[in-house]
Amino acid sequence: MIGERNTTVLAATSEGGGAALDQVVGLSVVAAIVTALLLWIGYQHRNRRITWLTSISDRLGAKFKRPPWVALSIMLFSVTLICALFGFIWDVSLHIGKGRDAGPLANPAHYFILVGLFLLFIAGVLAVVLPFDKPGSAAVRITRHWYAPVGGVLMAGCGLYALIGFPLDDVWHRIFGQDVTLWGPTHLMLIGGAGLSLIAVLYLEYEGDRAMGADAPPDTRFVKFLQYLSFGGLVVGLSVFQIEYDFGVEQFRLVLQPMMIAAAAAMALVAARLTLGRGAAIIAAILAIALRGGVSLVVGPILGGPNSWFPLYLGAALVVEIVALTPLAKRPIVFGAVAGLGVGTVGLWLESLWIDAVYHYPWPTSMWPEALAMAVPVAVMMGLCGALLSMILNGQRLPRPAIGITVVVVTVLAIGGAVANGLHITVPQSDTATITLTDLPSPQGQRMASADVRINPPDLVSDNPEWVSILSWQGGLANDRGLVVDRLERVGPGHYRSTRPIPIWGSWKTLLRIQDGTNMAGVPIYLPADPGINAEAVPAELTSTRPFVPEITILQRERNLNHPTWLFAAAGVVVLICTLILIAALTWGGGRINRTEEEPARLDEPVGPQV
Amino acid sequence: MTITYGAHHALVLALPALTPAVILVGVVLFIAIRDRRRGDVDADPERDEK
Repeated sequence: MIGERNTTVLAATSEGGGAALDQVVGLSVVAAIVTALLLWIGYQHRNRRITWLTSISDRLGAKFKRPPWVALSIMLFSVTLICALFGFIWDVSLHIGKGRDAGPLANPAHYFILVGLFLLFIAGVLAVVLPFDKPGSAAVRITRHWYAPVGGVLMAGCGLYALIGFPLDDVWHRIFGQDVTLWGPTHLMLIGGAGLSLIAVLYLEYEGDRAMGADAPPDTRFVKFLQYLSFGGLVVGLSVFQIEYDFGVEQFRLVLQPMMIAAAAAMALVAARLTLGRGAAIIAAILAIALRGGVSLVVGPILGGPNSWFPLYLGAALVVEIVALTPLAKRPIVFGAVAGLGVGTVGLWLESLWIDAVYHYPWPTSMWPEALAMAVPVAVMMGLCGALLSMILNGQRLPRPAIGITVVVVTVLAIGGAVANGLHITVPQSDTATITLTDLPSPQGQRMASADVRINPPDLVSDNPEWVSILSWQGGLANDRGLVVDRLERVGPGHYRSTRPIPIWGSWKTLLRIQDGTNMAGVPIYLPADPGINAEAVPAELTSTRPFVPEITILQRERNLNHPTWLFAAAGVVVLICTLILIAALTWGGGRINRTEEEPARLDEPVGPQV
Repeated sequence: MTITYGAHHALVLALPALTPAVILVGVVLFIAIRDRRRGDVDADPERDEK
């Protein structure tokens, strides 16, 4: 029955998609088998007709000194999330280096994302299905004999939310065309669900720890390491929205980057320090570097994709550690706010040293007032959220629910306000750029050139813009890995020149980009014809004067902009509602775990290697 | 002649993962709702929670 229904759905959608019927049938069969298998295992386990699931989880539980439903779930979670992270970064790198996918199932990175997210869901389901006895006092009742840990339910929820992003993504692209940016709403669901699942795993780990009781054996070094790793994972998980910036192909204003870094750092590092004690913020930052850096290394130098950098978060971690040396560390909420303030100011300044050193686009001085205005409120609120998270994980009594909920709501509003401001751009009207290309000696079949750029009028760009650059991308991985970002050298007022050979051949898409304050626009230099989307070529002319246009028309040529505005808004609202539900669920879960603390004695003294 | 490009084909790719997930959630919800409809009868020797 299931298989038949799938076939119909897929056949209907394959008209525009071109998916072969045998693929459709094959995948439906896979879906039916996977469903049947999962239901069968679940049914057999709940009725105690199979024992292998119990024995595997028992063995892992004994090894990690945690209840079986925590150990197995978290092991699977850790592996699968790294798999998803790898697939995600690889996918982005392939799109940057090669452009959109050639056809169905053609992109190998998608499999890592899909399997990673599916097993994320399964990891949550395992924690729900495994326990026969009530798994801790916070557990959610399913039937009178079956209770599920809050962390497991939320983990499955995060996985489901991310998985729903896949078909919504397809629908989205069918309506609006392919938006070749990470920040499509459905893309944000895919990565946001995975990123936020780190909060669920921290809940689950804590529920397991609590269920072991006060006389549990001390944690092994490996378990301690995993705890630090969870916070390192939280740092990476909250950083997934920055990936375009990490590759140097951001399609949005640079001023958003410090805000995103401050947000991730404030929440994850404050929570790490307050939960695991002295040094935890720095260790979490180092583990985040290892995770994110390892993936960058595999995707870039090893698999031959474009290189990406990542924030170090060490400055922010240092700030958090120093603030924690003061008596404030004993008052989590005040500490969260003060440390968040520190992260959003000094922490960002320290991070900017790294950004200036390795990223394509350093943060100019002119950007700082607006960057701080956006980052500081967000960092303070995220610091507060981190403090609340640590109180849950330490078994300290949370303030009244109204206060906790208010903190989360204000945080969402602060981020929403900062993002809305960051997305605000203006495109110069009737201004142009005169670009003179000079052919350079090039290998057979290629065409490289240097560029001389004059912006008319010359005062369109100030002395201290975010960038005046030439971006060439989607040139194929074999050619400089398909990405060239050249920040132009300023020769005089409104006069710039390139500093390295610019590719103007083959499948490369090359354009001049400016971002100065809210001004953000581009001028195409060379675009190949693209019959697939009925786009005509923009030839590379030796001298051309072309108007500035919104970058979206060049960078996202695939975008179909001929749709009613309300449709785009409505689709955005659907995604927004899904996201708010997830955040509300995570907030509810934290409150529920905290409300059901059984031992008030441990409320005053934080557990763990707290100083 | 128009050539239509088929976006990500994410739907095709996602169904083997999303369908089982949605059905699983549906089954668990069904069990939970059925149990609640039965009311809080304590003396229930049956353990058919699946």
